[in-house]
Amino acid sequence: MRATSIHATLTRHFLRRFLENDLISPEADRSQLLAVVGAALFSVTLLISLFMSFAYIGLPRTPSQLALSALNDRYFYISLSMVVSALLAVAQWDSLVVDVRDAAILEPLPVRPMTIRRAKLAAVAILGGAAALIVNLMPALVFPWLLVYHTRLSVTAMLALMAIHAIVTIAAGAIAYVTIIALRETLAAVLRPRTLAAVSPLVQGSLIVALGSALLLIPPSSDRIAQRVLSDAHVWSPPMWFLGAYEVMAGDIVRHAPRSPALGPRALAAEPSAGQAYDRRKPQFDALARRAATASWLVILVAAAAYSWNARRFPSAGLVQSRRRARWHAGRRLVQMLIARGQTIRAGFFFTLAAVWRSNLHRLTLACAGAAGVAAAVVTLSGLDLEGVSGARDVPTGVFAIQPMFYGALLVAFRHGIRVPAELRANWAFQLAWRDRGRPFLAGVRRAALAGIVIPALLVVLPLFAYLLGLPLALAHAALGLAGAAVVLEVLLFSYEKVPFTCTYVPSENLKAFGIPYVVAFLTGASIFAGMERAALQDPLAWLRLVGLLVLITGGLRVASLRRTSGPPVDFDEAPTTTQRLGLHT
Amino acid sequence: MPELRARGLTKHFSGVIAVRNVDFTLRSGEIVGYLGPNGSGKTTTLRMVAGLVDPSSGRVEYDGRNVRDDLIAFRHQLGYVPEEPYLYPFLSGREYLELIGRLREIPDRLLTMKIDGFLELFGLTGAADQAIASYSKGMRQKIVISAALLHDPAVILFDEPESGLDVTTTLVLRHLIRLLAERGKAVLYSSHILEVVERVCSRVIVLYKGGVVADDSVEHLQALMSRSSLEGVFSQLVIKEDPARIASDLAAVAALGS
Repeated sequence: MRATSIHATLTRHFLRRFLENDLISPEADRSQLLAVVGAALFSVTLLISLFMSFAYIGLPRTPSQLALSALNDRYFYISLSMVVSALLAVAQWDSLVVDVRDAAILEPLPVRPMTIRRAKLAAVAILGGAAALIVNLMPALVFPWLLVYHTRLSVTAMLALMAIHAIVTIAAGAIAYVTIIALRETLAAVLRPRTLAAVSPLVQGSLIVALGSALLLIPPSSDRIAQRVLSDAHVWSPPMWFLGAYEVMAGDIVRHAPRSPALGPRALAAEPSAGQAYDRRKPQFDALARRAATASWLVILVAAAAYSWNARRFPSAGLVQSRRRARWHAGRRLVQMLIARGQTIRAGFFFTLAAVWRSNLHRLTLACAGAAGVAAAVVTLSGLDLEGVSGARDVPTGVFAIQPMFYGALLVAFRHGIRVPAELRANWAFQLAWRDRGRPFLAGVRRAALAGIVIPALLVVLPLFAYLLGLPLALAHAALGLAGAAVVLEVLLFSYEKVPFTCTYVPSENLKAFGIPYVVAFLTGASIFAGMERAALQDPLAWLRLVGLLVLITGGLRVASLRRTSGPPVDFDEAPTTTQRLGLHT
Repeated sequence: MPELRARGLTKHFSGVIAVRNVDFTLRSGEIVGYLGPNGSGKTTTLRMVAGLVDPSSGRVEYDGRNVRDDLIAFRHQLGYVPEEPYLYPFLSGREYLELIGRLREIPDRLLTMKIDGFLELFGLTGAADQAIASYSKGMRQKIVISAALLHDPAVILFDEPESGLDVTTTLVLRHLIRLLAERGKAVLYSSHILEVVERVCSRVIVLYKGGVVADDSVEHLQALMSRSSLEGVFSQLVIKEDPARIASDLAAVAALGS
């Protein structure tokens, strides 16, 4: 076989491996899945472009007004491209390089290592390029056309606008994608394999939370960009750098476009001031564009250097012999004595913690929920003036809603996660060892959720409330959060009759029907509870009453749950209903 | 002493018969070899005995009762080493054994002693706290064998347990199986390695195309079929084509074009 065909075969193999993850079952038709995902992305970006561009079809505006208002939309598209590309790279974190499995399989073959590495690089580039193209193609066709809909711009100029939009947004996405590769490769070059293995999941999880939050925050942050260009803080935002490049390349095409004859006198009167406002920002655009170029070259250099350094040899499949992992014996003993006393409870407790934090799919689910929580918090805080706040009375109810929304989103994700097996093929071990003690096992799972998800979530928001309320009141607020989370957990697990993280996943039939009411109920509940917390924190007796009430509700729910007649023995390999098997629910 | 009995075990998969009317008895202290070529139904039988697959017809009895009547009670007495050691890759070997031990409600102190003992004797102490994802096949197999023996079961099913094990561990395993039988355990040992079965098992059951074609002691089968080894008996029972001729044809195919 010639080297080029080996390269092509390996590239196809690596591209296929990008789809090999827990999200796709071995029986799934990958071509069909790719077609569905591609079509969905095209449709969503087309709808977004149309929706955002309708404003330009309505009342005609002068070219300078268009140039100013286009800044918001251009910032939006650049941010979207960068965040989606970076998220894709983070999702493929371990597949971005030749991994241990690739090396174990391919190294013994008569293929030059350089061919393997080049094929991997080609596959990574194709994936990133295809994603950037899919996300940006529709906006590149629709947005520039509708932006200049009322002007008398020539076809050539409009085509140039489309090309510039495509080039800038795709370049921004590509740089974001390469930045993630540079980060991963630098970590691999700097850290020892064992340290990298420990650090890598943490970095990946943190990036998912950060980028997921950023994705949700793109719409609110793509506003009043014209004013922000001058702000010192915003010149450090990478999308702003690429906006500068965009304006350098395309700004004058719109700014000096022939006016529409249908412009009203008011628009014509505003034209000089809009033109001056835009022209005043031109030096900033130049500086931002230079920064985009410098940063891009830097990222490419770092990625290339780290990639070349790591490519000196393939990763070893050999086990790293190490000292026994230092365990926190005192902590484990404390957990065993206080939190998980029975053996089945301990099994549930420790297995849940391991599955939630070490299984890729479950970590990803929780990271997405965490991102939604962070985004909600940022949106809530961004519109508030918190200067001079000195007690619970001064803090708006919306701020108190951050805590229940954060742990609530995580617990809802946890409730979904327990239905997904951590490793379906390994459930035979559970079947053999299972003593039909579902309730103690579930008790362990519940305690693990409180200890491993709720308490860390409360600790994350504690500094904010300590700053606003002072430490004693913040701790009282966290205690209310813990009691509230216990209620939420009881409600979520009230009728759960399976073995978490173990039984076959059977999709819920009513999610599409009840999804929106669930979200509305969740937000309303969080808001009402936040109001109750705010009132309770102003009076120690009210705080005690609320804690007592929450404990009572938790106890009541637990008693009601225990009194439910338990169903038949657990079916570990439950088949979906006929409708779901046929895929009619999708 | 309780005994395990398979009665008329049959399993169809989409109309194809995998196991047909299999009957056997496994007594305490007995090591029974379960032999057959690939696809003869050995693993399916063992999975039915373990209660992991429902038989299409027939049943498995332990101590005179259908195990399906109280599968959990039966599994207290059962240890199973499957052919494919699927494990939770994100757990360490120690954590996996702790999980299984806790699900079986083995007291903590005893569990720790057992786990430490198994890990040390199988040479896994250095890797005990590494994720199973990084283990070799042999290391995974050692973890599976340890998990099957943690609760000191009365009946143990081995489905090709030597797979991936090194020579020393294979020898240890053979001695271990004999010792387990001496201590009154009933062992069903499925394997392709006839030499091991001949040395270790007191009786063999030979399966061919889903049905039992022989069930007797090794010596009796050898005498009956006038063969000096179990390999000769096995060849006469289930090998219908000349292996030498097939090997010669395979070598010819490999050499095509060269």
